[in-house]
Amino acid sequence: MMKTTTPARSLSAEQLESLGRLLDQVRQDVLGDLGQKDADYIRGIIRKQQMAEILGRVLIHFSLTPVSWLIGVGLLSTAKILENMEIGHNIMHGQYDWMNDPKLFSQTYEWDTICDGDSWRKTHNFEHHTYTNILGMDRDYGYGLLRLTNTTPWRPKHLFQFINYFFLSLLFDWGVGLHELEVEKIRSGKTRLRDKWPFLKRFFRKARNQVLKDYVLFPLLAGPMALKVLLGNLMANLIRNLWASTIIFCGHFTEGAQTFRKQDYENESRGMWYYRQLLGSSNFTGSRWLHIMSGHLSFQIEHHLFPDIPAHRYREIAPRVRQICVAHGVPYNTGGFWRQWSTVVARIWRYSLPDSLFSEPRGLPRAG
Amino acid sequence: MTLCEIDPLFSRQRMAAEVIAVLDETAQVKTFVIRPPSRWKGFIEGQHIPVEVEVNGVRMRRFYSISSTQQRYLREGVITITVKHQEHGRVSGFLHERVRTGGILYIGEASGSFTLNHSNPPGDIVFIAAGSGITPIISIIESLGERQPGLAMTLIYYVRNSGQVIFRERLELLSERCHRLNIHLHFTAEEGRASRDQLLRDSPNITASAVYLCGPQLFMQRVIQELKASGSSSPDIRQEHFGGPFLAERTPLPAMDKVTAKVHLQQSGREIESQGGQSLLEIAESHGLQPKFGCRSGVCHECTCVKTGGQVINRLTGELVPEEQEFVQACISIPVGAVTIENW
Ligand code: FES
Repeated sequence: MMKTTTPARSLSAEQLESLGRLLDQVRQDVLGDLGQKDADYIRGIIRKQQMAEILGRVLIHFSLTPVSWLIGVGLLSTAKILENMEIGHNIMHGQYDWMNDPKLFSQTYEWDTICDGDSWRKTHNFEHHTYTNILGMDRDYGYGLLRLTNTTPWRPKHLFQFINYFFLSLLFDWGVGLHELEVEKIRSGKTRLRDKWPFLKRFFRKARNQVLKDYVLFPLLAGPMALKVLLGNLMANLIRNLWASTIIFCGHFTEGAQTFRKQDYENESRGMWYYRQLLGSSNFTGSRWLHIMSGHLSFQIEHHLFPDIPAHRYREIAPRVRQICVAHGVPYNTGGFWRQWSTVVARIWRYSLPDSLFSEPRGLPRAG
Repeated sequence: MTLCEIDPLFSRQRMAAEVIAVLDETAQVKTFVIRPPSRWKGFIEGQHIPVEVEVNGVRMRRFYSISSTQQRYLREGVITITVKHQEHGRVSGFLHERVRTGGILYIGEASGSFTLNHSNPPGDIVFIAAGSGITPIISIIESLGERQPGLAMTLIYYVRNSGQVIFRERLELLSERCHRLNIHLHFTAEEGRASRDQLLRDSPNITASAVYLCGPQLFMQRVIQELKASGSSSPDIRQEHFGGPFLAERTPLPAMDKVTAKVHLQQSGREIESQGGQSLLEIAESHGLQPKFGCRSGVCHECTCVKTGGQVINRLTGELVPEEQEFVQACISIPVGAVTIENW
């Protein structure tokens, strides 16, 4: 069970049971209501994304002024963000499997980023979503690069982790693509590089295709303007990276988001699983387009409770989820985008320093 | 741009066919005259095609027999399918209510082995149909009649009453043209179900003939029983199942741990029986298969497989998953009755 310092203990078995039941009901209500409007929604977004991509690439190719080139870069970045976050990520979670449309099928969809779809499905859909925020099991927690709690012993190298954070964000697609390599385990000798060969083969194939597309094929098509296209594509990929990593960091590393231990997972009931997802995730508020551009990860709490419900539905169920949380005394971690992100930055900053500088007890961070 | 890389297994060829005309056959039966695109590979009489429609956001496929001939396809470039509006049938309902002349139907390549066997004994050819089971048979008879008008054929056709006869005019035309074609029409509301005396009366030589049988499962079972009981050693029977599912949909579900199933794994060609409410994943694993999986608790969809036939119960909710749902999570899906998994 969880440590007494976390509020997890404060829920009785009955409360956990009722939490599970009520959240299951929310889930069933949405599933029962899925239909044409959800199909129209995702196809509409795909159409917009495709238009933005075509327009963006055309502008980057044929622009005569820096302004139209910049607009092209903006459109291509938008298209890539939409494809990765609202379309690819959500389809691969199985959110649209019920439509029986092979183009929207979770297990065969391939997205426009370095990370190979199969690798993503394994490390994200399975590992991260099943073992959310369990230290040592959820490798998304800090990505083996960042110290985000005082359960990781401090080392002098952590002083510079802000630089790591910056480069991880900038090259996020490569970081995500190589996530399955488990570099930290290879370094510590837990796994061998040669066992990772099947993964590496897939990684190289996908990365090669992506590099060829954005940095060879499209630039070459532009002939003498190749450099302009190469730069535009590079910019679009970097912007997408910064955006995606920022959104994702706001999901689990904000001030109040909690972590768990391996023991917490053993014999976990449905209610407890929901409870862990609730405590480990955080939302941020914003306009409709901010939600869409974040792939509705602005509703990270709802996403972690119901990863396979079409994400555009999170908005309508969020008030119900929040009410259930309030009724059970469970913290519901939300706030403005900038506020949430500033707590992420503060956390990275705080844990880059040795704990002796701070007076808080050693243990799991508490809910905000 | 990124949506094109699809596993060939799932890239079922979906082709747009133009709807040329919609004809009323009976109060509940319509014939759709459609023009397949030129890349469509053609068919043999007796075969069926998948027809795909989207109802409330969900793509659904059903197979319908082609009710026209190759000769007509070569002449006019069109084929027909004939569809009975099933009670609660979502696809047949959609076809009847929403598809109009000038519209589009999505179809696939023809398949099926309910076709004329050219090594048949030289004797009579007997066709036995019930209800909309006439659809593949009419195309076989018409095609034969056009090629060999003097061929000896018998058609025994069961319908509930005279209002339900499909293709009445085409049948009349056929019996005018083919002088050795005998058509026997039976109204079950008056005469009762098929019996061996009746079959022998309509076709005394039936036990030595090639028999083509098409209709609902229970009807076909009965006809086969009657034929066997009539002393024939082993009649040469080809059959095609038609009509609603064998398991009545509204029978109450057994308790989850009492569910039995017969799972057909298409890719590995296995047939597995299961008892005690095992999930599809457990069933496959207990027979040495190693399908992909992750959480084993319904979260990650890593285990999702392609169910092309039958029904499953969701272990978490205890409820039946809608029959048309093809992509199911194997770790929480308990098969009920006959279930087919395409990609295992
Ligand atoms: S293994 Fe995760 S949903 Fe089945």
